Amino acid sequence: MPPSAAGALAAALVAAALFAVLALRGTGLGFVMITVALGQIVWGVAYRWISITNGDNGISIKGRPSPLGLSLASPAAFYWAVLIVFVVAVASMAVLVASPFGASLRGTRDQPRRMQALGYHVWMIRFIAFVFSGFWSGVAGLLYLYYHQFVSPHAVALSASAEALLMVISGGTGTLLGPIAGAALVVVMKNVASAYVERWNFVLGAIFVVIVVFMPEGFVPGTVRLWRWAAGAWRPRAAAPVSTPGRRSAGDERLREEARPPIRSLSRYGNPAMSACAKRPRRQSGVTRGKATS
Amino acid sequence: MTALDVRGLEKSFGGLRVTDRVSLTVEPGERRLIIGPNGAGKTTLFNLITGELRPDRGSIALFDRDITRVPGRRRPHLGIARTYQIITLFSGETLLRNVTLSLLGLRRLRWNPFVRLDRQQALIAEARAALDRVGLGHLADRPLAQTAYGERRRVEIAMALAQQPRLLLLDEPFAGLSIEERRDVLQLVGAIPRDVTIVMIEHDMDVALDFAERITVLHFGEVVVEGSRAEVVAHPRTREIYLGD
Repeated sequence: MPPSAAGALAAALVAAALFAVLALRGTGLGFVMITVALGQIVWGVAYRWISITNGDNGISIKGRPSPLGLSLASPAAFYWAVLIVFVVAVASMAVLVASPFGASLRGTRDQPRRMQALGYHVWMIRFIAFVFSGFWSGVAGLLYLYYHQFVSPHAVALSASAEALLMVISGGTGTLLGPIAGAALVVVMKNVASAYVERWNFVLGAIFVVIVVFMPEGFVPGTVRLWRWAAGAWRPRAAAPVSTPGRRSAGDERLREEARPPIRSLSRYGNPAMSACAKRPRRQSGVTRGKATS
Repeated sequence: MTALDVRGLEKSFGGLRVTDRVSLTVEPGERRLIIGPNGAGKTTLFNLITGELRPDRGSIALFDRDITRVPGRRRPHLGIARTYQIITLFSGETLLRNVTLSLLGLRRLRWNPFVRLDRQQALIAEARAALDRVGLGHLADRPLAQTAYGERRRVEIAMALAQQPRLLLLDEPFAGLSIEERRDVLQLVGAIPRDVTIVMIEHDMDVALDFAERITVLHFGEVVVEGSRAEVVAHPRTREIYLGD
């Protein structure tokens, strides 16, 4: 790795840490708005600081680096290099998700208050997640630069951020496979469909609308859900016991009364929508309940 | 030594004073009941003790250590555990994972991004034991969303007990439960050893009175009456504000 690449990754880490400190002052929509604002600042600086960024004309680099003496100049060589980085990235995320820290992260997503009451450092967990994500974004940016051998402020424009966000949302948040499928969808539309349909953006937009309407949880978990639903429709009787495995017990009768319809369980990585299920179920009749208090 | 020593605690939300010069002393091993009508500031008091809210004034000491300035996330490490009136659990996860998260909260392992959580046999065995203790061992691998309300109450308690707290705060542990479920939970709480100090908020006097040695009555954020069960029940102010005479 050339020193410039190492420097770029270090800069990405520092920027991610700095942005995390600023953005984590808010949560939810506030958090989103701060990150958008920070992105716009970066774009503005890239666009206007012409002596460094060359403004709208962008910067060209000559050739690609040769890590370990292997030339990445040919498309095939570069393809394999990117694939290796991709596999490492996904593997690192898979390891993280299955680790105790991954469990902390998911818990923080679903119940931050509760996590704090259990002794977790909610802010630090979010900070680490943000910087981890920033690191891989930096890697992606580096590969983008080597791929095009050119970079201009368009790479940091709002539309670029929105595109990445759409990839994740359409594929399915809170899953490993979702963003990959979402990215594939967008890239294929961009590069393949655009050859046949002039207004390929329109087609992409229509696909997003379909996904949002029929699979609001995203393409990957939505497909799993529809698949299960279809399988259940084929075998209406057989499907029921499968969905609630577990030993029969004295409490089973009551359990059935209180059981909610099976949650759209996607992958084992869960979904933010699930946290809504923490609410209490409907009461059965004849149950005395305490009055609600402060 | 006192388990919990709250002095002159004050908290206002805007112009509304929800906690008004509350002082409270709980002895080690004591079972304390806090009662009061809606909006008396009972849950707010818990939120101040656990550090979820910062008091405007006053101090909180846990086993003679001043924790007023200790951040909420550190307080579980000092021995405070709580349950919530409105159940806040991880509904997408299994019961076992819920309790595992509780155990993990006090361990350095929670920062580890490399090992697999489901290979941490000792931790998982401990979580199973915690579920067994509340009689839910057979449901350990069931997603929380597929359990009954009464079972979730017990999961809450299992999670709190799993942390082996010195001070346990129970916020209306009987709310919304059927008669049988109440009996189960009461039995469970009654079986907690005396090295755990318990402060309980409860609306249901019938269940809670048997449990407590001392009772504190809160009203508009103030401690109105405090004393033994008999004293509090006999006190005219209790009858006036709480029993709605």
